Amino acid sequence: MGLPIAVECEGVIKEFGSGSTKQRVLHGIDWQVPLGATTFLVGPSGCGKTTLISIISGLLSATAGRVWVLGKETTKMRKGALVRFRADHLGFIFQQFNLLPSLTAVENAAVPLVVQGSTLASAKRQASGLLDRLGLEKNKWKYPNQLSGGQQQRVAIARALVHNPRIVISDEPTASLDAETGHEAMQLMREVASGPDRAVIVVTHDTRIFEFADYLATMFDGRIESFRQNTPSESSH
Amino acid sequence: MFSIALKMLFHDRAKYLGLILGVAFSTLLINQQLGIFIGLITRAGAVIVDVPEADIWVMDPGVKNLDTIFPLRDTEIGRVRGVPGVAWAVPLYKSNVTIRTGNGELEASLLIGVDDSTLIGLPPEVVMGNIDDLRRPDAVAVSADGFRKVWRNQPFSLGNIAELNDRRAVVVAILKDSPKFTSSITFFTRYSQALQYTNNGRNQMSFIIGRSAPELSPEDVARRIVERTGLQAMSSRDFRWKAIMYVVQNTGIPISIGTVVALGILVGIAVVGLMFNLFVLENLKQFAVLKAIGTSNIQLLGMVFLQACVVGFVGFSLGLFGATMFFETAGKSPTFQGFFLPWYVAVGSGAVAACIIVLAALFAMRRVLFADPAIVFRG
Amino acid sequence: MHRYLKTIFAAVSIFGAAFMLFYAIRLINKNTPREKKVEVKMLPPTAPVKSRSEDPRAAAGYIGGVGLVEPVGEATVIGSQLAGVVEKVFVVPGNSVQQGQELLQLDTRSALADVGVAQAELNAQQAKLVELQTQIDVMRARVDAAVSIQDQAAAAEANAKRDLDRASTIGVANALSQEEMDTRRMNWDTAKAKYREAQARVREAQANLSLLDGKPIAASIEVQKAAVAEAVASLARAQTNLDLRTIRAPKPGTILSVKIRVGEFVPASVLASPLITMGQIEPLHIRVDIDESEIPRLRPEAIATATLRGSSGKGVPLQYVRTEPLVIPKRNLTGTVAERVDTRVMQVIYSVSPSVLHATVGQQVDVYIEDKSNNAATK
Repeated sequence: MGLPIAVECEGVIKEFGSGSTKQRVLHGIDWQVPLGATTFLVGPSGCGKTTLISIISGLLSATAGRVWVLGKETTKMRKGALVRFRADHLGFIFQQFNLLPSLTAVENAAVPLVVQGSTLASAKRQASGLLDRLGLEKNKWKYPNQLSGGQQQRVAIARALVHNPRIVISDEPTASLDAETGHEAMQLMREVASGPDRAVIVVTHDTRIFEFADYLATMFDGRIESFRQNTPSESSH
Repeated sequence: MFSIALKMLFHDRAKYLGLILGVAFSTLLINQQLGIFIGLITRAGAVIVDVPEADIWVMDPGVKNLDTIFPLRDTEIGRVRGVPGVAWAVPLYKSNVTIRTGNGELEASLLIGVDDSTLIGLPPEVVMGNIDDLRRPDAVAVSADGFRKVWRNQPFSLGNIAELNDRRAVVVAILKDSPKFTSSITFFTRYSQALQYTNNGRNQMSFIIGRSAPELSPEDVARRIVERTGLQAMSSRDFRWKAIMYVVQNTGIPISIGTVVALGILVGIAVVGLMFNLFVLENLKQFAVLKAIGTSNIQLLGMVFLQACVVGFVGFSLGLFGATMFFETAGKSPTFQGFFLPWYVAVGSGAVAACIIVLAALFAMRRVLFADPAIVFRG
Repeated sequence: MHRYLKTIFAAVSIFGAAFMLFYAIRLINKNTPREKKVEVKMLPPTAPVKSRSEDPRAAAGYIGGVGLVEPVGEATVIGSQLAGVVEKVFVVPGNSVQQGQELLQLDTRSALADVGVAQAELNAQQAKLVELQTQIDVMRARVDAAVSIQDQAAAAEANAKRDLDRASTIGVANALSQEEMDTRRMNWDTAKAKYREAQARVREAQANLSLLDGKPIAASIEVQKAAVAEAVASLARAQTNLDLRTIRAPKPGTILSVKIRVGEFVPASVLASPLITMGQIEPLHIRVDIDESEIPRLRPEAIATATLRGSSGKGVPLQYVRTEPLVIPKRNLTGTVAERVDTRVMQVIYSVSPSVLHATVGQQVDVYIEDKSNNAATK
C-alpha cells in the first residue's frame, strides 16, 4: 500500500465472560491501518467493530494477540504508560458526542489539553482558536444542551483534535445527525483531521458517508472480511 | 482537572444542595444529640463546677456521687487541714430540703451550706445582690433558675421570703449556678445556717473542700489526704468525672441518647453515602469520557475527593452552624440551661462527616476506577 | 445556567459555608463553660507554711484542731446561795472587778427586819445584865442590915439573959415574984429566938448577895451573860443573812456575761444559764480539741499557732499550758444544734496574750500544732 502503518493488529482475540457464558467476539484480527489516510471500519451491528477500536485505543485489553500503535506495542505497555500514550496520541469522537454537560463548548474542547497537564486557562485559549476555525465563534461559551447536534459534533471534533493527536478514532460520528449535518461534519473532519502523518479511523455503518473513506475495512462476525482502497465510484451510489 | 471537577459538582445545583443538606443534617443530628447528652451527664457534677475555688474534695470513702452523701465527723476538717500540701480546707454542706413556693406549692430544692467566714462554695457569678449579705441572719442566696421557679412570673428582686423546712429564709442574693439533675432550685447559705434549716442532728459535714498548695498537683495532695486520714479525697476534676461516670453506668441516659446519636450517624452515612454514590454514578459517563481521553485513575480519584471535600466542608459547616444556633437560641430558655456544644463534639462530628464523605467517595470511586471506559463507545 | 452565575453560586456556597463555620466556632467558643480556677476572695485558715520552711524538722505536717477561747481556769459561774428577787445589779459585761466587789443584791427587807429583831433582843438582855449588876449593892446593904439586926438581937438576948440571971439571984430571996421570974425567962427565950431569926436573915441576905457577887461564880450574872451572848449570836446570824443577799466577786476578773436583771427571781440552785459569768482574761486560754486519732502525734513542746476565723494571714504563736488528762466526747462547737458526734477529743490548753490574739472569750479559732512525732518525720 506504500503508506506508513499507523496501527497494526496481529491475531487479536477478545473473549467476554468466562466458562459456559464465554463468548468470543474477535476471532483473530490481523489488520494494518495506514497513516495519512481516512480508514472506515464498517459492518453490521454486533460484529465487533467497537470492541476492536476499544482494543486499538487501549481501553480494552485483548485476550490474545498483539497491537502496535505508531510503532509501539500497546498490548505490552503498562497501564499508566498506556493512559499517558492515549492522552498524547489519540483523539476520540464518540457516537453521542459525550460532551461534559457541566462544561462550556470551549471548556469541553480544552479537556484533552488539561488532561495532558495544561492549565484550564491556557487550554481554553488554544481550544478557542480551533473552535473559531470550526465556525463556533458565537457559541463557544454555551453549554452542550444549548447547542444543536451539528454544533455539538463540531465541539466533539475540536476536542478530538485540540491536542493534535496522531490518530483520531471516531465512532459513528454521524449516527445522531441528519444527513445534511452528517455530511457537513464529515466534510469538516476531512478538512481539519486529515493530514499526512495522521490516521483517522471511522467506525460507521452510515453508507452515505462512505465517499469520505480512503480505505474501507469490512467486518463480519469478529473477522475482517475485506480491506481495500475506496474508489469514488463505489462511494457515489 | 480540579476546576473541571468543581464545575461538575456545581453544575447540578439540586443534587449539590441535596448532598450538602445530607451532610448538614447528619452533622446537626450528631452535634445536637451529643451536645444534649453531654449537657445532661455533666449535670451530675454541677455542684463541683460551681466551686471553682476548690480543687480537692474530701468525703466519706463510700461516696460515689454527689447525691448520696454520708456526713463526715466535724473533727475531720482539722485532720484534713493538717495534711501537708493542703493550702486550706473548709466544710461544705449539701442536702435536699423541701420548700414552699410563693403560691404554696412544694418543690424539692438543694441546700448548700458554705463556710461561714469565707463563704467559699458559692458559684462565682452573681446576678443580683451581694453575697456578703449572706452573713445576715436567715439570709439565703438562690439560684437564678430557682428564683424563676419559686416566684413565677416575678422579676428578680431581693428580700423575698421563702420557707425552708418551716423556717424563714430571706433572699439576699441571686446567683447563677450550673443546672443540676434533680432540681433547678438551689439555695445557698452559711454552713451554720444550713444546719439550722435541716436540723437533723448528728454529723452534718457533707464534704470538705480544699485547695492544694500552688506548687502541688491536687491529685497528689488528694492521695496524701487519703493516706493520712483514711477518707476519700479526689481532685475536683476526678470527682466530677466519677460523678458523671456514675450516671453513665447507672442510668439509661447513655443508651437512650447513644441510640439516637448512633441512628443519626447511620442515617447520615446512609443519606450522604447513597447520595454521593448516586452523584458519582450519574457522572460515571463523564468520568468514563475523561478516562478514555487519558485521565489517570489517580487524577480521577483526586477529582472525586475534591468534590467530596467541598461537599463535606459546606455540609458540615451548615450542620454545625445549625447545631450551634440551636443551642444558642434554645439556651435562652430558662428550662434549657447548661446545654452547650462542646468543641470536642464538633471536632468529632467533623471527623465523622469526613469519614462519611471519604467512605462514600471511596464507594463511588470503586465504580469510577473499575468503570469500563469502553462504555463511551456504546450508546 | 449562565456560567458567571454558576461561579457566583459556587463561591457563595463555599464562602457562606466558611462564614457559617467561623460563626459556629465562635459560638462554641463562647458557650463552652470555662473551668477556670478562681482565687478566693478571703483566705480561710491556713497552715503556717512559712515556719515549715524555716524548720525542716517540721516538714512532716500539722495537727489541726478547733480551739475555743476561754478565760484562765475556765469561766467562773456565779450563783446565789439564797433564793430571792433581784434588787440591784452592780455590774455589766466587760467590767473589771476586784475580789469582794458587789455584783448583785437580792431583796433585803426581811433580812433587815431580822437584824432589827436580833439587835433589840441583844439590847434587852444587856439591860437585864446591867440591872442585875446594880442589885449587888442592894444585896450588900441588905446583908449589912441583917447583920445589924442580928447584932441588935444579940444585944437584946444578952440583956434578957442578964435580967434573968439577976432575977434568979434575987429570986431566992423572993424579992421578985414568980410571975416576974417567968416573964423574965420568957423574955430571954424570945430574945434568943429573935437572935436566931436575925442570924437566918443574915444568911439569907448573904446567899442573895452571892448569887450576884459570888466568888468564884455569881450564878445569876452568868445566866444573864449567856443570854446576852445568845442575843449577839442571833444578831450576827441575821447580819450574815443580810450579807448573803449581796453577791460579791469571789476573785478578781472580768465580767463575761450577766444573765439576770432587776426584779427577776433567783433560785438557790445550780442553773443551766448562770447568773453571771466571770473570768480572768489576761492571758487568754485556748482549749483545743484534738481528735483522738491525732493524740499519738501530739507533743507538748510542739509549736502551736492559732488563726482567727474570718481573718486571713499568719497564725499567732501559743504557749503550752497543760493537757487535760481526761479524753471527753467532742462537744458541739458549730452552733445551736445539739449534735454529738461519735468521736472523742483530748483537750489541750494553750495560753496567749489578748494583745497578740484579738479574740474574745467563746470565740472559735483554728489551731495548728506542729507534728513532731517520729511517725511523721519518717514519712
